[in-house]
Amino acid sequence: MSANETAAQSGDTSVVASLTEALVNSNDRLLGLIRLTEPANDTLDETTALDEIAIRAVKILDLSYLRLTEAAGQTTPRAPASDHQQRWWRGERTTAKPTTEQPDGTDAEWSAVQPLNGNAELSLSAFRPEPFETGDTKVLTAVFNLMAGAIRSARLHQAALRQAVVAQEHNAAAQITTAALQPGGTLPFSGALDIHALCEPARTTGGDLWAWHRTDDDTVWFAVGDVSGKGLPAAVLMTTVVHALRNAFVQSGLAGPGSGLDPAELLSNVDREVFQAISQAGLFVTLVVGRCDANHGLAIANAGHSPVYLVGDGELELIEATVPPLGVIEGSSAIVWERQLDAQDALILATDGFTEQRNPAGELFGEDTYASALLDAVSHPAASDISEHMVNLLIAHADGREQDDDSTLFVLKHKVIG
Amino acid sequence: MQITTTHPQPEVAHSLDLVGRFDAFEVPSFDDIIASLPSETGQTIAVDLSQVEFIDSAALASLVRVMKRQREAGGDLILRKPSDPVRVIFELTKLNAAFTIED
Repeated sequence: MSANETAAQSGDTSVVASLTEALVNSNDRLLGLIRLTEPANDTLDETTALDEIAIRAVKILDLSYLRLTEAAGQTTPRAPASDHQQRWWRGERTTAKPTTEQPDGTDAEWSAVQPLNGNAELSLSAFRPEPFETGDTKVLTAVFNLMAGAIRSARLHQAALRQAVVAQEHNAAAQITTAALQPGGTLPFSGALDIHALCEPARTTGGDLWAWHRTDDDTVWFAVGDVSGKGLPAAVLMTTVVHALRNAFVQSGLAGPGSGLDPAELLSNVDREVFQAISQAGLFVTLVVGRCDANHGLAIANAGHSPVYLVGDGELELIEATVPPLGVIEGSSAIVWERQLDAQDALILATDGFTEQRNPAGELFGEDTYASALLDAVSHPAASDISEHMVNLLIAHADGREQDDDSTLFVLKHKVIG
Repeated sequence: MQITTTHPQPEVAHSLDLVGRFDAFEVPSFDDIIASLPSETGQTIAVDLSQVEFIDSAALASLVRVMKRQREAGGDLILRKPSDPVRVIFELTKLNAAFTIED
């Protein structure tokens, strides 16, 4: 064999060795890629998933360092644009550990950036003494996509958990609401009066409330109110107000016939008891309190509540608030509205769930429609039929749209016999 | 709802113009903007309600919170030019007696 032939054969061997090494490396990368995908499926914990992917990446690519940076965009006025979080891993032969060390600047570096959610941005940087080849960058791109995917999965999982907690809170609020309120319907033991109450909670629990009490001298006390806001805080405050009201009603009855409080005094007593709780919660409570004595003498005190109407004989009288809602100004004194409840009259208290219900086009039921509907509704002799008339109109207006807010209706009138 | 903050005026430290529905869904954005305003003792904030087409009790509660906070710090919250639907709500709830309202 000539020297030239030997050289040629040696060259062929070198090419074959080089090709073989490339094939082995390529195969190693493929196997590495398969191994990379395994840990991401096992955990929904963000830190654990990222650590596992980083360890595999360091092992496959023989990295000295790996850095993942998340830069938050200005998603809210409270989050400065410079907000960012960084995680470092230091390569140790076949594994990697989280570290705060940084490379000394002699390593080759590969970096890439991709959007995360909204304005946030994710970047990955890999470091090692040897330069990164085309195949390495493909693997690093896969590593980066896996890390981003793990973050998205973990956060979606967290969001789902938070939603479940909110749903649980809503259920708790709904149960508190239901437990605190007296059973609705046509109220029993109401003497010569026909009283019907209903409270339909919306999906996102609001803070509608109502209460009533009949004392031994046939005086009937009643109240309808609405805590501003929704959810658990509103439901908890609602129960506080309901308990204060019922205590005040009972105390008034215990004082003996003719010596009880008037509705403005009772309202002030309730305000004194609940003001701090309402104020500290940053909410307020609209509340109308009334009393109907054995001779059908009506007395009402209104703190910011609407709509409150006396309807009878083709006429409507709006019973206006004389002080702001409870929780706004401490120590307000309401002016008592007084009238005789005639046989054809109906006193109808509601909450804004009636007037502010929207239809699919977004149009409100409205104060005017509500008021004119009352004039038709009072043609029914029974309080329960008046309620049903109004509820049917509200359902027809909503036309399938979800209930916007709690809806409460309280109807009080003379009992019609026969 | 659109919220625009304008430059300080002589009598108020911050002025906000609200446009659209001001309801429970908009309250967190409003609260965030109010919280982000630089605050000093005795400052007054003005909120223009002339282009608010609807206001609910959650939004009213938010305004009450701001009003109380400002007054406790020696300042005030001024509500400017409430639109007719908003004015009706303030009258019905008697909250017009609690706020400083300018036409």
